[in-house]
Amino acid sequence: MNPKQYNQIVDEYADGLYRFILKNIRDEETAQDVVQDAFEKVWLNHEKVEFLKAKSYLFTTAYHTMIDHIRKNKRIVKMEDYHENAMYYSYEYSDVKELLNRGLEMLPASQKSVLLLRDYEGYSYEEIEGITGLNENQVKVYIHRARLFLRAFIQRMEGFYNGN
Amino acid sequence: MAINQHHRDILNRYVEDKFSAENVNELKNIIEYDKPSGKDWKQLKKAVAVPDESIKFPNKNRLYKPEVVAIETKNPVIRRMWSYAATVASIAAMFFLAIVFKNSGDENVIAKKNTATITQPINKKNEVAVVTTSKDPQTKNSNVAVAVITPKNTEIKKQINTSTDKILVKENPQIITQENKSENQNYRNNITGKKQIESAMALLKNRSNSYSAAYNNTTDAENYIRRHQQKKVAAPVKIATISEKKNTPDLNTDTDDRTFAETVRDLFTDHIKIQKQTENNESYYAYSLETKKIRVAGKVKPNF
Repeated sequence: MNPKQYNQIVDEYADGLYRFILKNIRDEETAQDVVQDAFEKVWLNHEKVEFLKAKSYLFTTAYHTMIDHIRKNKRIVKMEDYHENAMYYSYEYSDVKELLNRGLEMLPASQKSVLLLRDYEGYSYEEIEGITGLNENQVKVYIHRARLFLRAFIQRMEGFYNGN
Repeated sequence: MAINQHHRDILNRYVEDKFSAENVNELKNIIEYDKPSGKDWKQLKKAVAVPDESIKFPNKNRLYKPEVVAIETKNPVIRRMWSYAATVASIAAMFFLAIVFKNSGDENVIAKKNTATITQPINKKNEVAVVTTSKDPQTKNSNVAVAVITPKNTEIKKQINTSTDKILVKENPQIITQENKSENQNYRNNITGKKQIESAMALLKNRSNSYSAAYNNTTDAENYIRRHQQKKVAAPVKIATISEKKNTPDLNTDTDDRTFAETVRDLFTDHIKIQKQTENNESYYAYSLETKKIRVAGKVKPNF
């Protein structure tokens, strides 16, 4: 990968990667640092990384950096805690998008990152497996659980909002 | 209930792209005819996260890398430009120096080429002006005096400054300022050198007290000097031949020339050698006047 291709990757994937990291970390400065670190690592290895695999390499690097950051700051919260919080949430959301975002924030980091890779970037199970280091079955389970949780959360919030 | 659970599984598979063509048809029927399944379908569609396009990385410029390193590309160009400029400048300098040295060397070259040429000054009063060449038939005259002077006018000035000839400087300070190469000053230089010859001749005349110098070929001298003046080059004074002429000026009656002649006499008295010689039963005086820069030599036949 030459510098021109590297800059092309920056154009195409910097915003998406930043959105993905920001959704997981929910801190803009930290998300910017993670993205910048990821691109810096890509640049350092740009002669070794092929252009077609650059996106996967970029997201893999950013994902691991993000996981390290989350572990360092002990921001991993058990899923059960989210569920309990969800039960007593003040339901002021009328927009489904806002409900979904709130539901995403309640997901565990592993499920959320896998689901975002699936929904945001459209990665296949195999690609997500390569990025996260999980096996395919784990990826499927995490996505399925996350989806069910979101559906239940949205359904519950809408039912509560509608007075059902 | 079992049917609804089956429908939900189909919907989940649809969302997860695990869907076959048969499942699509079945799902369409379910959504169309089964209200709970249709509601689940709508709920599942809501559970798909959609990226927010308004969120963008704020400092993307920090991520870009230079595609072409400026130093690597610009330096060779600048280096080539400087090399071209240096080459052109050096060539121009060489041409300039060549022209300068060529012009400065012209005088010496011409002087060397004209070593056999005789130059005699043009007096204001047309009193003394003799120019001819050594090959001139007139030099064959038995009553001939040959003077040889080798200096440049500028060298005369230097010699005067360094030698005992300071009297000449005092009385003729214009000699010192003869270094200018302009046309007028070249002319003055010619006159000065010629005056020295004339003075030396006058001195010899007084010493021998036996002959009166004669000057001839005034026209040739004028032409020669004029020709060199047109070339803007000083006419070299190398050899002067003095022969008899009826209208020889009387130096003793000419105040300026007499004064100058006296100065030269005082100046060159110690350097003049006169010896009486006999050749072919004829007596004559061989004389020579020689300093570091000036040499005048010849022979005269006594007129007594």
